[in-house]
Amino acid sequence: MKVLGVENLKVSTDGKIVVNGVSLHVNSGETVLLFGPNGSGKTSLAMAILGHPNYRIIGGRIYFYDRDVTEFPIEKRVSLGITAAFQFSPELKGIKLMELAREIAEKHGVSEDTLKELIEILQVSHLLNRHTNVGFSGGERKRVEILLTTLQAPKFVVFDEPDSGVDRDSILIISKAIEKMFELGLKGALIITHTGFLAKHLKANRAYVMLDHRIVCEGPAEIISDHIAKYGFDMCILKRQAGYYELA
Amino acid sequence: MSWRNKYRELAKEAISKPPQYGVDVDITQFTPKEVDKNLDLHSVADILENVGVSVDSTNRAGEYYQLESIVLERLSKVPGLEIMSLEEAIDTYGKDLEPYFWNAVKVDTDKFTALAELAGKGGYFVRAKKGHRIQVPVQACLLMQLNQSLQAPHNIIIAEEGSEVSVVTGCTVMRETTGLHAGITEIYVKKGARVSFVMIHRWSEAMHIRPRTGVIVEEGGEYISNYIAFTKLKTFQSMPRVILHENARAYLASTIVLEGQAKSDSGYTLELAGNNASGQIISRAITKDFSELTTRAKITGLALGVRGHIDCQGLLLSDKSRILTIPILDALHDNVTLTHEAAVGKLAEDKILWLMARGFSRENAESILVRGFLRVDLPSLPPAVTSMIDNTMRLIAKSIL
Repeated sequence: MKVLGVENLKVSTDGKIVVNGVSLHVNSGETVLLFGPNGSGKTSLAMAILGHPNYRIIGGRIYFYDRDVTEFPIEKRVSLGITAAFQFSPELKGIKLMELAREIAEKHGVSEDTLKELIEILQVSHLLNRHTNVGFSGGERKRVEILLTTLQAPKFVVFDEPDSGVDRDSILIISKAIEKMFELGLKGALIITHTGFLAKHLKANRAYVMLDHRIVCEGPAEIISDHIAKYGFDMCILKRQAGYYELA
Repeated sequence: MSWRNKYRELAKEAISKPPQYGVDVDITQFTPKEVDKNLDLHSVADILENVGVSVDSTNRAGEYYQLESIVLERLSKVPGLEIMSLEEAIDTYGKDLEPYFWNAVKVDTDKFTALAELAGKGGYFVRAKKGHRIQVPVQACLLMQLNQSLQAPHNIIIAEEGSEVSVVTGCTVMRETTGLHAGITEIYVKKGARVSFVMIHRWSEAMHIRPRTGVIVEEGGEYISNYIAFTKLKTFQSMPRVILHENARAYLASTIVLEGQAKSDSGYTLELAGNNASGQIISRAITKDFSELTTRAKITGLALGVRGHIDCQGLLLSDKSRILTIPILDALHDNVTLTHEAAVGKLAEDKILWLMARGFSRENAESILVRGFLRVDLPSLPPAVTSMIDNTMRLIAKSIL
């Protein structure tokens, strides 16, 4: 069963087309990767799936299970269980991390014990009394973003580069937290990444590659990840042409 | 009473002197009013709660209540703490009071200080005796209710050497009224003493407010001030002046939320006069409706190794309102560190959307951001003071949007 279905999606922001006819899907229980160079449209796709009002859907449909959510505003999508873990989360001066974490957990019925467990997994206990994201390192910010997203007990998450700019230890920690999310009821994940290092730890199922605002290929996560690591994104297209992977 | 004559004379000369900042007010239309002394404070408990005053709290070192020009109650509940009305203090101490009388605030500062000397009545005299560190607050309340009324109390707080005292003063109106509130507050923090002074204001839309505050902190003393106002009013102007001597410290915070057509011009002047003195001015300003707010902050570095920082943040919740921020750093010594940061704007849309992605409604997201905006981290205060501030801030954050 598909948790997320994106069909021929076209998105514009600031008058420019940033997603141009993208189709992809995430099945129940799947972790799917989305590769692509900077500027290829990955974040725009993530924001369109979330329902960010700055990303206008000008064509195509988005389905959550069988429900057409294309016209739903962000509040309604999030209330159904769709969310995004942002690449750049904002600094919230004056709002202590623990207060915010508790507020999110209570709102979504996540227990205090689970909150404590996540704090331990993500190694953020030293940040709890500080203002959210203010003065945090890159790795700390990523771990906090995963913490707060997990506390929503979401059903589907698009993770926007949870592994960029962080060390390998943090990547391992993040992959453990994503596993915990599945235990807590996550049904599917789309992970935007450059590196594929996270993919190895997450046992990702499939991967897509996005170039110039379109999906150019799809295939088994491990193979695509290895080929990108060895040959870069262009080689990915050649391999697809040679029949290594399916055309998305 | 001859020692007071010179202040009377100076006041008479200054009675038409316009204020340095803010809108001028025709003071001739306001006069002090007498009222019945037998007000049951419980009957106005809800109104008092809005300015942090709890009628039944047992957790207070002392209390002072004044309605219009009448002192309703004043008492000290702990050893080492003296509380009386200004008139009683003058009767009791006579000329011995002079070092604390129109010294931290000059009587001829402007027409409002002059008016307080010539027509003002009441005000509290609070003194913490040497070495007494009093961990629960003194609660004071200044109430107004009559039209064309002048309330100009003269408050004096003295923390003797090595003592500590906290004074929380709530000032408000019992009904919609027109009036002028010009409270004078002089604070003397002696060597190694500590004073925390919290003032909470809530007024009605035809009120003019002109507090005049001066603070002198001696060697190694510490002064923490927090001014909180969530209010409609006609005009407000205040610029407390704080002088720090050697190794003294000050934290001067203000949180002002203006509604309606209110016009406000306020801030702090901090003079780092002694070697290694240090202080911060922290302001949070929010404007709603058609209100206009000017925030001033001035730090003058006059001695070796002093450090000062200004942090002014403004938030516009209405595009018909205005915030003007004026930070001034003035160095008169080559070995000083003076810095400032200031930002004015509306709630950041990217933060609202990020919070919405975390499952909050737009309204909740805005309320969380406003709550964060209003949070000012001050040095640790006695728990009862912190709880009074927190309760007030919660009330503000809840009803602000």
